[in-house]
Formats: sequence, structure tokens, C-alpha cells
Amino acid sequence: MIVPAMDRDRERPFNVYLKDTQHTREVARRETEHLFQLEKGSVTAHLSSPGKLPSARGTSRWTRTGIPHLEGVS
Amino acid sequence: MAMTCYTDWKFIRAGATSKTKGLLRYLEYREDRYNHHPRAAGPERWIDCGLGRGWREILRNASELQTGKVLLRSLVIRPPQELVAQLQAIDPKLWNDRLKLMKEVVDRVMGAEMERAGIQRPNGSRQPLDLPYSHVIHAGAEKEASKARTPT
Repeated sequence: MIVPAMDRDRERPFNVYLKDTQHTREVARRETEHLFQLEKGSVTAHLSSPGKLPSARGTSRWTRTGIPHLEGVS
Repeated sequence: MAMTCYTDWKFIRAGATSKTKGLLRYLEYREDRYNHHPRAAGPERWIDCGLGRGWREILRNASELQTGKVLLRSLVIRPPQELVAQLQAIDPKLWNDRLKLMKEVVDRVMGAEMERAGIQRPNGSRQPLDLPYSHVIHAGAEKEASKARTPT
């Protein structure tokens, strides 16, 4: 996702400080859990019998390598 | 197992146009470091929420909205792939809707960010920041069903 450094009217900057990253992560976790209905336990319950499920392998290279060109939160 | 969601905010310094171009083209034309996304005949790559639907337009709009220090910010959201992948077996409808759901996650996260960065009114409520944005959903799962890669 690409977000500009200021709002549409160029009146206020959009800042992200270290403390804000935790807020973002928490919202993403909560909304993912809700929308994908992961909170029902129906998915996690199957973790006890992984043989019946698709492989969990194939994790994204994105998280292993990160996206190039970028710097951390300012 | 505790559910975790990977998120990562980054930024590009003001004036770094060439670096920004590289990032936007990377997002537009690559599924990941190794797999190229066809320039022609592919699905619409960018989801335009006000910032643009191609790297040129996004670069132009973001440049106009840069501050003295920051040209733009990027956010990667990666849902718990192992759990989402299991939906294929236990809830095919949710699995089929996963791209639509991921878009909804992005919109809700951005809504919360705009609220967070908004202005506090005298009555205690907040006026959200009016932020345009654009995003790409990388879904390798379209090609290989056993993999649910949807970083945004």
C-alpha cells in the first residue's frame, strides 16, 4: 500500500511513529481475524490434525527478504 | 497458536524520485523478487483509492503531497498465511472470497490510520485525515492454490 506524506489538501502531514506501528498491527490482526472468521476457532482447531490440511509451506518471500528500496519508520 | 498479522511501515525520503519509481515499478510488475507480472493482458494491478492506478500517476500524485522529509510511505500487510491457506479445505466460500476480504482488511486498516492521524475536535470526537492511497494485492495463490500469499 502506498500512502502520501500529507493529506489530500496538503494541510496536515501523515506521520507514523514507532508507537503507531503497534496500532496498525493490532487493527490488521483484528480485522483479518474478523473478516476471515479466524476467531471462531474453526481454523485453528484443525492445526491439531495438520495431515488433513494443505501444507503451510510456501511462506512469502516478501517477509524473508523485505521489499527493496525502503527505509524504516521515521 | 496466537494469530499474528505481519505489518511493516516504511518510507522514502523526500526528493528520492528514482528510488520511488523503482519501488512502484517493482510493485506493479513483480509478484515477488523472482516472478515477473506480465505488463499486458494482466488484471488491473493497482487498486486506486485516490492516489492513482499506475506507477506514473502514483509517483506524480505522491510527489505533490510530499513533505520536506518524506516523499511517501508504504505499508505491507501479510495475513497469517498458514491459517488462511487452511480455509481452502474448511471454508471454500471464504477461500474464494479471499482477495475481496483482503481488500476490505486494507480499507479498514487505512480507515483506522486516518482516524488515528486525524484532528481531535473540541467535543472529543476525531475528524479523520483525508488520505488518498493505492494498493496492490500480491496473490500467488491465484497460480498455486496451496500458497496464500497476499501481502499488500
